[in-house]
Order: sequence, then structure tokens, then C-alpha cells
Amino acid sequence: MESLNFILLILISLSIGFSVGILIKRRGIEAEKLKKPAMRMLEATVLLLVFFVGLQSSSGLERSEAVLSIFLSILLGISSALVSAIFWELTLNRRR
Amino acid sequence: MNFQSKVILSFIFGTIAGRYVKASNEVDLLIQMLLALLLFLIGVDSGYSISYKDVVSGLKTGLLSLMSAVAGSFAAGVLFFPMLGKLSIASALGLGWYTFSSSFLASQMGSMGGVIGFVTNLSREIFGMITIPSLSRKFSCGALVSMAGSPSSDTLLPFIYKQCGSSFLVPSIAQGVLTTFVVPLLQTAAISAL
Repeated sequence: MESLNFILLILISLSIGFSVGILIKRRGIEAEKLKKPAMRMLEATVLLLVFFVGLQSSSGLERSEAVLSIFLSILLGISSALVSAIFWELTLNRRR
Repeated sequence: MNFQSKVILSFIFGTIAGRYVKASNEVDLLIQMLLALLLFLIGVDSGYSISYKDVVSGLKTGLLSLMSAVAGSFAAGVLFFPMLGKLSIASALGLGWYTFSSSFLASQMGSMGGVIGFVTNLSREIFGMITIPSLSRKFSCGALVSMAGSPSSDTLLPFIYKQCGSSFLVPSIAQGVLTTFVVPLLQTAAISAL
């Protein structure tokens, strides 16, 4: 239920932003002037987000004692990301 | 200093801060609010620049990248099976959704399941945050979306957006939303089949 609310929050934020974007386009507002400050705001938000994810993960992992399992899990996480990307490149990307 | 270095430094500072400050529920809320702000900003740009044609073709790409993410994660899980047992496949099939994977695997496989589910999927997300800017030179945008897995629609969306532009917004979001339905089924299947 919590994740459903979270997905709803994401979709609502995106929909409102999307509507604002369409409105800007339809009204013919010059958006190029706004692009630079918007990109800076986007970057600042990303950096803040990364900071808090780091904070959350390091304080969450203090409890764990299984060092080897954690090490293997990190390798597994990285491998699954890389194999997914390689899989796309080798199969789906060639078909497209 | 480039954007990638700033991201790595932010994460390091966050990790150091986490040693001294206990992450409370407010941090979760803050992350959600920051994500909402990010998605609002990205939404404004996509509403300004995306056409109906982009949306239709994006959904198909999102589905294909999800298939690639599932196949790749399953293969990686099989690779680690001798070391981590059936937890390797179940946690790899979390596709980066660490909040769900950790709680689900903890309830099904005990506390070690929770730890492995959490670390595997969190490391996938962090790996994406750190490497998407540099891997974009080697891999196509479809591969980056596939690599991101579930966070392609939230935390990794800004990174994909920065490297691939607004044309990959719809596939990223489509894949992220689809994983919400697919991951619980895949993890349940992995636990009960093995």
C-alpha cells in the first residue's frame, strides 16, 4: 500500500509537471531563458537526493554483521545491472 | 568539477553523515519530496518537448528493456547461486527495488534474506547513479534503462534524462511502473521454485 502511494505521488508530480510544460508550449512562452536555472535546480535536487540515499544506506547497514554476504550482494547488484545492459546490447539492440 | 564527481562526493558525504546521524522516517519523507520535485521539473520539460508519437514508441521500448533487465538479473543470480544459494536469484530479481525486496525477503527468508535483498538492490541503484554518466559512452540508452531496473522511473530517471534526453523518459517511466507489478511475482516464483 505504501509503495502504491509512492507510485501515485510520482505519477501525480510528473502529470502536473507535464501539464505545466504543455501549457508553456501552448501559450508560446519563451522557455529557453528558464532552461539554465531549471537545469541547476535539477542538479541540486539530484545531489541532495544522492546525499540522503547515502545517509540512509550507511545508517541502515550498521546493524549487519554478515560482511561476506554483504560483499557478495554488492557484487551481485553490480553484476545484475551490467548483465542486463549487456543483454540489451547483444539481443534487443541488434533487433531494433 | 563535473556532475559525476559531484554525485560521487554527495554520496560519500551522505555515507559519512550516516555514521553519525541516524536516518529517521523524516529522511524517507525528504527523499520522497525531493523525488516529487525532480519529477515535476522533468515533467515540465517533457510536456514541453515530447510528442504523441514519442509516447507510443516509448512504451514498446520500456517493455523490451524490462525483459532485458529480468533476463540479465536472472543470469547474474544464477552466476552467484553457488555462493548465496536461492537468495541470489530472488534478490537479483528485485531489479533494484530495495525497499520491497528487503522487507519481502526478510519476511520469507529471515534477516539474512532482508540484508542480501537490501544490499543487492541498493548497490544496483548506487552503481547506476555513479556509472550511468560514464557508461553512456559505451552503452546505448536502452541498455542504460535496462541496467537501471526499477529505479529508472524515480531516482535514476534524472541520470537517464541527463544522458539520453526527453526521448527516453517514457521508456524509463514505463519500465519503472511495470517492475512494480512484476517484481513481487518474480520473487515469489524464485523462492517457491527453488
